[in-house]
Amino acid sequence: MRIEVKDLTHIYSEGMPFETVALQDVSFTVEPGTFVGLIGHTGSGKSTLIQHLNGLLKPMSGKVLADGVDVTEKSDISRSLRRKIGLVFQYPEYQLFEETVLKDVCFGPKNLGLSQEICEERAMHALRLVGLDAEDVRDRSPFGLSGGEKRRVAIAGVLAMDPEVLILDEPTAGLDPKGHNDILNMIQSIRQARDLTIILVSHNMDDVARLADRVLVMENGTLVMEGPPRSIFIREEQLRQLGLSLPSATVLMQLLAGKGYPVRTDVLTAAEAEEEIIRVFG
Amino acid sequence: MKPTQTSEFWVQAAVIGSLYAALTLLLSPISYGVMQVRISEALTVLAMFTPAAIPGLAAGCFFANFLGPNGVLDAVIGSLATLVGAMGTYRLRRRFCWAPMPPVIANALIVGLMLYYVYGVPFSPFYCVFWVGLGELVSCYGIGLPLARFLKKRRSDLGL
Amino acid sequence: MHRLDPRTKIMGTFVFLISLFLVNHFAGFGLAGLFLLGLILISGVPFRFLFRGLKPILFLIVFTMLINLFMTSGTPLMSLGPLSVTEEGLYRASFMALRLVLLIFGSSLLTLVTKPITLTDGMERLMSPFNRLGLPSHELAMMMTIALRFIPTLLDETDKIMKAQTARGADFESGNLFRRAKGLIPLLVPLFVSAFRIAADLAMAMEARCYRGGQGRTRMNGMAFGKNDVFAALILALYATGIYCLRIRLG
Repeated sequence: MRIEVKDLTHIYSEGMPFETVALQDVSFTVEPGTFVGLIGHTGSGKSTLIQHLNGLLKPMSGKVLADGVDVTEKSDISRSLRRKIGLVFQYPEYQLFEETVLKDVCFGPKNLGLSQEICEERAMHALRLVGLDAEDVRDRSPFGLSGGEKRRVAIAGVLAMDPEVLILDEPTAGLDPKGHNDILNMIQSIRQARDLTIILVSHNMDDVARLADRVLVMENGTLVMEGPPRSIFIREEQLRQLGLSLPSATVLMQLLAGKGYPVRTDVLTAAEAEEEIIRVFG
Repeated sequence: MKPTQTSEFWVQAAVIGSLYAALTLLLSPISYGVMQVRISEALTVLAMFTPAAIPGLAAGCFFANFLGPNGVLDAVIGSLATLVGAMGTYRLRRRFCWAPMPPVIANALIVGLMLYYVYGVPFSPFYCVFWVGLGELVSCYGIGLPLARFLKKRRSDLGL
Repeated sequence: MHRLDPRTKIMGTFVFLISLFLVNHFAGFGLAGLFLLGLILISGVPFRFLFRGLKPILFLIVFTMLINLFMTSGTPLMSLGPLSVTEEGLYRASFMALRLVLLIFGSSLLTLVTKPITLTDGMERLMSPFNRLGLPSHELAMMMTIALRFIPTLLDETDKIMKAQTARGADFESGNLFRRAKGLIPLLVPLFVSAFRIAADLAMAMEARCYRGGQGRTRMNGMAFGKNDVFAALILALYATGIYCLRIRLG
């Protein structure tokens, strides 16, 4: 599914003294099957933006189109398209509510009107996809699981709806390094298994550099930079002004270059840095 | 350890009050006015599960009135009624079907009589008491009882 | 007026509300009305805020007036078929209505010139003499402060939960009462869990900061009576005397 955002503007509390312009004339396109990283410091409008993509919020002006159809339309087509856009909020484990894990993951599919059998099938698939032992957790209470497990169950809840687009808002927030890596690996395996379009909102430049095909940079409600990671992360000065950092591998290479060594600075991952260092230093 | 107990008790009470006030404010169109079918009144069944609900609900009622269009008078009298009702529910907590009754009676009497004497509703006191009681019956039994059943079932998950 | 000690405001409102019940003649309402008007003007509260307090009760007031107008027995003034408006009815209807309106305005005024948190502080101080009788005034006030502080937090949480569940296809809008109530479970369960989790965390945080209850606590913002309060108290006393005298003289 292709998602197009055209001149999206959103204002909170319009007309009141607390009027805040959350988004201003934001435009971009997400091609099907790509991995888009959305970065920007807190308050730049990232969360507001993604809530427009599946129709949760309605724009003040501008449009969001899914395969050419306006997502805020009240038509059947629009609704079925909206249902294919999965949104995982920050700290998704707070949305768990059912008595058993299976029931909770089935909540989404049930709302789509599917039969109990299909729901359970999808739920079990989704649980496996997020790296859990589906048979083991299915009848346990979600409240008895560990934080990382709960988060996976929550994500499985969205995956069970079989979305074509998966939007994740800081899925690694609050996790320890191992948890962080686990979730990231999970995202990668999901991408491979299901060929989804993924939009990842993150503060972590290493993750974005590693996984994204394209990067969108937000600042104060506007889209200020857009392009493949390599061309974004090379603009160090501009990123710093926006309050953003660089992937650690890039920072390392820049430090080395600063000391006079003839290394490339447009590396994104530790692996690339390693290669480059070996190439230069032998 | 006494200090822990005290802090936990009062903080839990505070949060219950917040819940009551927040839910009343959220559902504001139907929450205020004389014929109030307050969804949050159903929350009085919380007193079946923890004594902290007694002061908590009263505080919540106070703020719900204060922050809403009503004035201090409703706030004070309403919270008093809620307080007495919650105390009763707590006492009756083991008798499941009777537990929601005290708030019905307390509100019916206290708020009902307030309507008669203070607001001058020109029917007999019994009439006022009756109508308030009816509204309370709907909230406390119609919504409260199923809520209580649900809370009992999911008690451990919810942290009650 | 906003800067008066909350205790003065609370006591003042209390006195005013009680005074309204001591009035037994329209002149009393006249005095009360003037007094209230003065207060409103000093406080700078726009009138429309006060009228908002009447909205929920408006139906009741009109209804009550109509009933009183037509149902009170006595010397008839004019007739509309079987229904007649009596002198007593007119008197009674306007008396009750006026009292009610003044009551609403008076109590609304308090909520409009006092921040809830200041009010809680004031209440705590007023309650503290009762500590000896076993009233845990500090704990009660603390509880109220915390409850107030978390209302916006819980409202936020509700919003977040609603959005997350809506993104999973939940529907909070359609259906009859039963269906909607069941549909609220995905909202209420996470909300309750959040609320009690917040409570547990907060209690632990307070304890970690060595909170031990009310004994020996000091205040950051002291509460003291100032000149304005004394002045206000005098005016109040004058007003109260006035009402009382009117009652005696005209009773």
